[in-house]
Amino acid sequence: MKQKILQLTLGVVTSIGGFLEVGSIATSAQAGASFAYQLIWPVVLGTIVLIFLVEMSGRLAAASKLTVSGAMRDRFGFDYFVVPLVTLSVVIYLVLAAEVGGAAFALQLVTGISYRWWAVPVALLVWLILWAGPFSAVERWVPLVGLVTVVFLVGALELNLDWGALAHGLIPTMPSHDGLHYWFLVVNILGATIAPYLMYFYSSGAVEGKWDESYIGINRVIATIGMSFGALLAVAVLVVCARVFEPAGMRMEGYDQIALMLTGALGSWGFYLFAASLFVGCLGACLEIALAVAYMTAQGLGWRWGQDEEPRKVPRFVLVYTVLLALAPWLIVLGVSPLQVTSMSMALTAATLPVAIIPFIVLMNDPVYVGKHTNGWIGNCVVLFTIVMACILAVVTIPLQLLGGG
Amino acid sequence: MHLVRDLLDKQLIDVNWQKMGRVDGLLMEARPGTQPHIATICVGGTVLTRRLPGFVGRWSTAVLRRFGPRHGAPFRIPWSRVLSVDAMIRVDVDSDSSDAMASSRWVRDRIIDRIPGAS
Repeated sequence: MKQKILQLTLGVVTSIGGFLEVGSIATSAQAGASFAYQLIWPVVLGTIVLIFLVEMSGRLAAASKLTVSGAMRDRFGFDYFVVPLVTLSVVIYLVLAAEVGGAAFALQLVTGISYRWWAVPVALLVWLILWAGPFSAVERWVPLVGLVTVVFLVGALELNLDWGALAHGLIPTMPSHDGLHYWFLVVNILGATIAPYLMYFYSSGAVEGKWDESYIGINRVIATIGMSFGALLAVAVLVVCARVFEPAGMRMEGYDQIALMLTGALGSWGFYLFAASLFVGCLGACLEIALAVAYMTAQGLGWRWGQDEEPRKVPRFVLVYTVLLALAPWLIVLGVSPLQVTSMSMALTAATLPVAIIPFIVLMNDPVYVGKHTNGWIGNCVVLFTIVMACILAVVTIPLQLLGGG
Repeated sequence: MHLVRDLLDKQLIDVNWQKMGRVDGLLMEARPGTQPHIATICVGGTVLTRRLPGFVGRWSTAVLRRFGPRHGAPFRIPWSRVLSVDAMIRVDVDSDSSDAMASSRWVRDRIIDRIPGAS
């Protein structure tokens, strides 16, 4: 049992890479600054959907010993598999660039040296951790160091919160101003929250942890607590920015503004803790993303894989994350604004969501894969709802990016 | 047995319980006087790229033919070497000493081993 409780760290790691990365911090901050508490509902909606999808990924791994990518190749064949593989790889390149940019920017805040100089060292650090550390190390250290991000919650509680208005934000309402920007942020929040790489990562982690059917119960707890932990902090970021920036009518133009969110509540400590949180969250996301692509490629093509293996026993798996990390820093080095890359990458994640989600409805109802642990009607309703939502997001995200981005 | 559902795209496991690619293609054999039967499992190469539709398939097949290992020829496993068919397919092949792992060995020897701390 103790062994199983320890797997909670897998949920928390997945969650940090999903909620405390640069995309979620940036979009939550923008949402709070522009619309106060009004955009809490997409965070909550995205989290509920994510809990269901992550739980399914874990259940699939526990029941079939297959990862989501492996089962996708098995069931849908190479000609389907190639679509999520290629779209994910392209989109994830931008997401990874954004995360490297976020971590680099955190270092700029502390050192005063431009983020452009930090991009290559950050990518190298991520690569070194993957090269030298086993999966269990990633799984244990990221949540421990990641606890620094609880500072957002402390920051939110330090301020006098209007709980009534906060609760009101849980209910979707029409914006009173800047309608396009409002919906642009809704799409970005959902895109930043429901990221397919989280599911590939989580199910691979479950297989690396040798889950069997006895994990199906605890998997529910891990998915729920893990994702809620991240969501709570994302809401805290939004709330702090709503309190600090919204009354002043400030729009978030860049990370240097977002960096000041905690100084009101926590003084200069707030500034450094923000930098530390941004750095840790982005680093965790980088690790998770680089691994997710390596997992997906290796599993889909039947290569040997495993973060617990010696690199030379899984050469092609190592090659995938090495190439990805070698390419990641250059957009940032060239001086593309990290916030712009972030916003673009979140919108594209939303655009490619349907191909990643549709397989769930088939796999999770096929007894060949999950045996008697098929989806119940609630689970199926949530997946169907998500597919419809993902298709709408996919259609509106690019026009909204162009019209409502500024 | 259902060819597409139970064989195609499944993970291949070698005699030492190591992963060695997936069933990327199947070759059938039909001779006068016998039932058609599966003759060979194909792994990698142009067998895989030819499954892609339209110009993507043609273009990637042409690239593999020109630049791929063994000019894109797949690694072939005779059906008689199949040991068991399950969620994964186990075959009587030692993949480490076969061409199935040629690209993996190439990456290991030429790239991974040259990074400090690899072994």
